[in-house]
Amino acid sequence: MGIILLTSGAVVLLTCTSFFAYEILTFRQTMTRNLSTLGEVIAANSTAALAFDNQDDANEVLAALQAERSVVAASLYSADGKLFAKYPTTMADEALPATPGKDGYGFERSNLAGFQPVVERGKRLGTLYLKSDNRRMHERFRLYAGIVVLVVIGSSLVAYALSRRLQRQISIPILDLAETARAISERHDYSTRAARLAGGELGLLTDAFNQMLTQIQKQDRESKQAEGALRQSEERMRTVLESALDSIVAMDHEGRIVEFNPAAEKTFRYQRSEAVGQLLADLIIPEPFRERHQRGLSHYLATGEGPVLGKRIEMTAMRADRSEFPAELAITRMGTQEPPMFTGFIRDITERQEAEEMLRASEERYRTLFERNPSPMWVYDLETLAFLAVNAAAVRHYGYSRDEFLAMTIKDIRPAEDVPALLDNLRQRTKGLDEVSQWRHRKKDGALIQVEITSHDLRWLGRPGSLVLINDITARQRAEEEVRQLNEDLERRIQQRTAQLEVTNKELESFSYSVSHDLRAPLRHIEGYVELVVRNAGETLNEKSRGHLQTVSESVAEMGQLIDDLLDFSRTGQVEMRQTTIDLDQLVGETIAGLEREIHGRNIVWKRGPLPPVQADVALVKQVFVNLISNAVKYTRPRDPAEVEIGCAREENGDAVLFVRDNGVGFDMKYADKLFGVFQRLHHADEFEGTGVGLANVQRIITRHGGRIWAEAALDGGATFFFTLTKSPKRKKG
Amino acid sequence: MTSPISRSPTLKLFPFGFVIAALLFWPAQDLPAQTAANEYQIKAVFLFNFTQFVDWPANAFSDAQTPLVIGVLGDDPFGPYLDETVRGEKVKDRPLVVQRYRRPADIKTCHVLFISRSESARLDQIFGSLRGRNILTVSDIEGFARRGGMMLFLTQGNKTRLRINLEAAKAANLTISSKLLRPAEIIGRAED
Repeated sequence: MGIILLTSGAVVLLTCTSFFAYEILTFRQTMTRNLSTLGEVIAANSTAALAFDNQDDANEVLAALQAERSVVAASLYSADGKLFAKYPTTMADEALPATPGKDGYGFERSNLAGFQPVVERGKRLGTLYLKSDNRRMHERFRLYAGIVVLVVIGSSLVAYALSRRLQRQISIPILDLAETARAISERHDYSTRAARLAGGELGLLTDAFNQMLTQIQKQDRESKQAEGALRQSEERMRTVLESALDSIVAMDHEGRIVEFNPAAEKTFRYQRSEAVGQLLADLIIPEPFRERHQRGLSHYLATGEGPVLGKRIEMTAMRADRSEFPAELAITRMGTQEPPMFTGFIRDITERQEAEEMLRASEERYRTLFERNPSPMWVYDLETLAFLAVNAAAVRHYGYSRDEFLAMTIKDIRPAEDVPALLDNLRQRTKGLDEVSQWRHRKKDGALIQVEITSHDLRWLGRPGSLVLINDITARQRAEEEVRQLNEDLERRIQQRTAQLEVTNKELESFSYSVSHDLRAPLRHIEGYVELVVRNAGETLNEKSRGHLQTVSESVAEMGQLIDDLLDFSRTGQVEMRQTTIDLDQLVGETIAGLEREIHGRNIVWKRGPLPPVQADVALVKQVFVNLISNAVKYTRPRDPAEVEIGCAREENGDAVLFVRDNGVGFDMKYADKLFGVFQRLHHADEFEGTGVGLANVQRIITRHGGRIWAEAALDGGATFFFTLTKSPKRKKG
Repeated sequence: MTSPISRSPTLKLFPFGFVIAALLFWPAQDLPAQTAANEYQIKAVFLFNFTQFVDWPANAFSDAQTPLVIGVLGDDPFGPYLDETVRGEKVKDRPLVVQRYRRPADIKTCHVLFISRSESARLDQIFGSLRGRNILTVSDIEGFARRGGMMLFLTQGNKTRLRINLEAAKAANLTISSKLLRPAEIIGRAED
């Protein structure tokens, strides 16, 4: 209500003031114009009076001003500024300007006054002064002011009355409506309805308002549904963005980033919050490419042409640490909105490029391997059998030029009779597997060569092919053939020699056996007859003759022993071996016990280590130990006490290294090579008895078992005999 | 010379303009008595002022720049005043020229002709020679207007007044501004 009063008051006041100001202005202008017109008339009438110095006439002219009551004073001045005439004539000269002032009119205090030139035909004859009283003007202004005050008071009263009425009839229902609207917008409860407080237009307004609320309520419901759908769609979109493996960056028409997905964060190493709002160019495009990007964007915005839109392009992109990497980029425009927005799909193709590079390098290596291979190589078409590629070695080796090769099939380099076998082989070949086979090929000069080929299936420029490596084995086969021939010859000769040897051996053995037998018979006669002589005539013989007979008898015994040993030796080479597992500890024990006669009366210290079981012929091994131990006992005779040690030194390659050691007289090692010869003796028989067959027999037994025997000794420093026997895999009891 | 001016020798040297101004604009009752000298000063100014209030027919001038000629016939009573008054002045674009004639036959081109008192006896003869010519005739010869002159300088008390014979002016095909008629005495045929 206050504002209505203030407004209407201000409007009335402003209107009146404007009117008042306008009145003053126009009134003053009118007055000035009136006075100026009057001045011009008087001046025109005064010219002759001034020209002809007629003061009476001038006064007469000025007296005409009586008709205009507002003019209170007037005077005429001659051309040189002297007062010439005045009005009213009674006026004191001092009340008038002594000399004319500047031409023109102006207000001075309550008066309007001014100077008017008096001119006749362009010649200035003098000046007219006019002074007008403005009392009437001021009276009028006062009247105007009074009217303004009355109008303001009156209009304020009317405005007050009207606003009271308006408030009752309009403001209150409208305020009520506004309150309802405010409550609705605060609570978002669109089911509220405004109460209808007034009829007429306000009632209609309330109805319309309520109708609008119904519409809003409906739209609100719909928009909430739409919002839900939109949210779901955005959710899906977000999921796509977040799970995408490619970097997805959306930007607006200025090139500012508006979307930056997690893959992009990972690729470019910016947080989404850092990236959004930045210029795409500054962030991920290296300096040298930025201008091109901006130019492309501007060009698109200006012309709608975007040569890169919707295509895959390769570019260089930049990470947060300013490192660059090759990337594949696809830009699409989003929707049709204006100004446009763009989505960029960016993929780091470093690995792909590396893979391509590796593939290229690998192909290069393969090509080199193929082309520079010293062996002939080619690729042929599995369907047409035509050569698809041949290497330099093939050209060199076969004599065909590369072009000749490529015009042929693999059938053409084979002798005609081999072609059916080739086709058969091709039909039956196992797909894809490397195959090695031998064939005959024909060179350009017609020479047939024997080759070994290795083939491997592959795709060659889209054709099913087979890569073939050729190995010319003609020369090798020839060499192999020669070797085979030589071997056959050698074998035949060995067989011949062996047969001869066997015959000789048999003869030798039967000879030695028969010799032994035949030698034994006369010996038994000698022994028998010597015994007869001693028994029958022993009493009669003198001491000396009995001594001779004794010597004969001993020599015969010695001879018999010699023959027995020879028989043993020859039998050793012939008897069949029966290999069993032997308990050596037991066998050694039995052996020592069997030597009781030799040991009797001797002071011998026996040392026996544990012996492993061995795989051998028990009778032959017994002979070995009997020989070696009896030797040890024999050659330690000068020692008191004598020491004999039997043990196993070590094992090597499944063999047991056994030994028999004594502290006897030993021998000089420079005779060691003669030790195992038949009838070889290092001591005199009168010193140590023996036939010289024992060690030869021992060596023969060990050799037949596949073992070795050797001795270590020093003259007068004892001897050790080592020999090996195959160790039994398992220890068998009994 | 009873004026205070004569008391100071320096004042005698005052320009004549000052004297004219003093005479023209001093209130009448306070004016000192006019002398013969300043009488013709005033008359010289009046002669010049006629050119502002009188219109000559177009054929009176050969073109727009043709000088307006003020002639003096007979003995020149103006001394240097007339020449000084018109010096440098122009009426519209016309320069002013003062010519002096001994006989009417000397008058060639002339627009304002002051006829000196010396010609009083030969007035009729002069008017006869001027008949039909567009020349404003001026004189201070008594009865000039009645005898057929156009402008007569009258001395009334110490003032110079004008008497105008409109008929004569009209006969010479001259137009006198009504403004000039206000402060002047008009005579016409009726008074003949």
